[in-house]
Amino acid sequence: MSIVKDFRSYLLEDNLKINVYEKRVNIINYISINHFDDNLVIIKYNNGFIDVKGTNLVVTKLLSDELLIEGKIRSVELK
Amino acid sequence: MKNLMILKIKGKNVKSFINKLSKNKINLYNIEYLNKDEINITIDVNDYQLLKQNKSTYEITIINYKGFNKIKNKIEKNFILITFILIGLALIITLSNIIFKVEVIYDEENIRTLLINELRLYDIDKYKFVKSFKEVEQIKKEIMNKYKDKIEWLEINRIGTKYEVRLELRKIKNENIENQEYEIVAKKDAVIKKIEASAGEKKKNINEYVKKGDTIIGSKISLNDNITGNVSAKGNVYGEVWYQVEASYPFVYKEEKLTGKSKILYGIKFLGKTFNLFDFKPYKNAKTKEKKLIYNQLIPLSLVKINIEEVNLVDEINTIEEATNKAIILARRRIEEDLTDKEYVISSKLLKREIKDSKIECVVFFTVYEDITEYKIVEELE
Repeated sequence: MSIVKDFRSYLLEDNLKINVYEKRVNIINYISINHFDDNLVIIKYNNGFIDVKGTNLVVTKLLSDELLIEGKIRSVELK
Repeated sequence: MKNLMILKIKGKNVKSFINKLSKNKINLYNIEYLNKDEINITIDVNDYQLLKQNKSTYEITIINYKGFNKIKNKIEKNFILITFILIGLALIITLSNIIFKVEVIYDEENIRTLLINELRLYDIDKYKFVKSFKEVEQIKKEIMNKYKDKIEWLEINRIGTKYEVRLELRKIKNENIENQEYEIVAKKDAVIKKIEASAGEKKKNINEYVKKGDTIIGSKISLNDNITGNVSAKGNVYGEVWYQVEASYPFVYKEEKLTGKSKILYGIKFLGKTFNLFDFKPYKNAKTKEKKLIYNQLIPLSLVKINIEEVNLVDEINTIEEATNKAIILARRRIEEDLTDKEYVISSKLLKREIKDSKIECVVFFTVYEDITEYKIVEELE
């Protein structure tokens, strides 16, 4: 079963991915945005939440499975 | 390529609006924050209706499109302008390829009428489409052949939407009739180069300029300003005659010419492809005609008789210099066509060269050593 799950996961690429850059955070395969303001963005994923903290945070790309947050990123926490 | 559109959203707390859109599964490909209450977003064109349903108090303005819709939008906005531009272009192209005038430059009206009627048979007439360079050459050849005894030289030039035709008629020497006195006059304007007088008195000298009709060998023999006798002048006069010829040559020229060589072979035709039997020396370029000898409707196999004619393919792409040289050669050939063995082209000079509609148009000046003898009746001998 786990082989099938791994294979399915490999084909569909549905695992959570977080790419952190200097002034951007790109999150792929999230579920929803719970909260966002200038200093905190809370994103729900399969197994919990992601807190992105910083200043002047804005969401510049918001697709059904991908989002891009720009601004001065201080921390990214997985809860 | 996705069809996207850029919208401006204006209202209080746009961030909650973004959240609302996200919950409605509307993809926001780009979000640009203009100020606290204003953002520009890029969405899929298909999501626009859904967004409008959820807009509530927010102001939504379409700013621009991306992708195919942008082009479509531009065309829709400028549809009338684009249509009229296309109609205008089509009109210009059509009108510039229509003949509006055919002018024959010659003194006699009956010759002008004859040639205009002749050209009409070949569709070189007012309000007809212009002909290609190759077609015009062919028409000239046919007219010259038809009026071999009348026309010495014929030139058909296209100047814009006008065809200008120039010609020279053949002058037939008058036969000597008994009791007629002749003198020799100049057939054309020329500079005399040689006088062969077997009877009569020379009135002009070598290197002297004569106009058409000037007497060169007179019939009246004089001595110390007294006329001592009359004879019928006999002889030949050669002079240097000048011609200005307009010739054009295309930059791209293709021609298929039969060499005269042909052969008959047999072959097998299978599924549309023919395999020649015993063709040990195939022609490089050839035209073929097939005739089925043995075939069956049900089987895609047949025995065919093939008539092969060798052709020479001429496929030229010329530079400006090459086209110019070829135009000069063509003009020279036209002059030389009507010269006899004793006549020849002395020199040529390119006067004008113009590039028009992917062909080169040249005006060439020729000096030709030519027989300018013409017999003219003076009076009856008593």
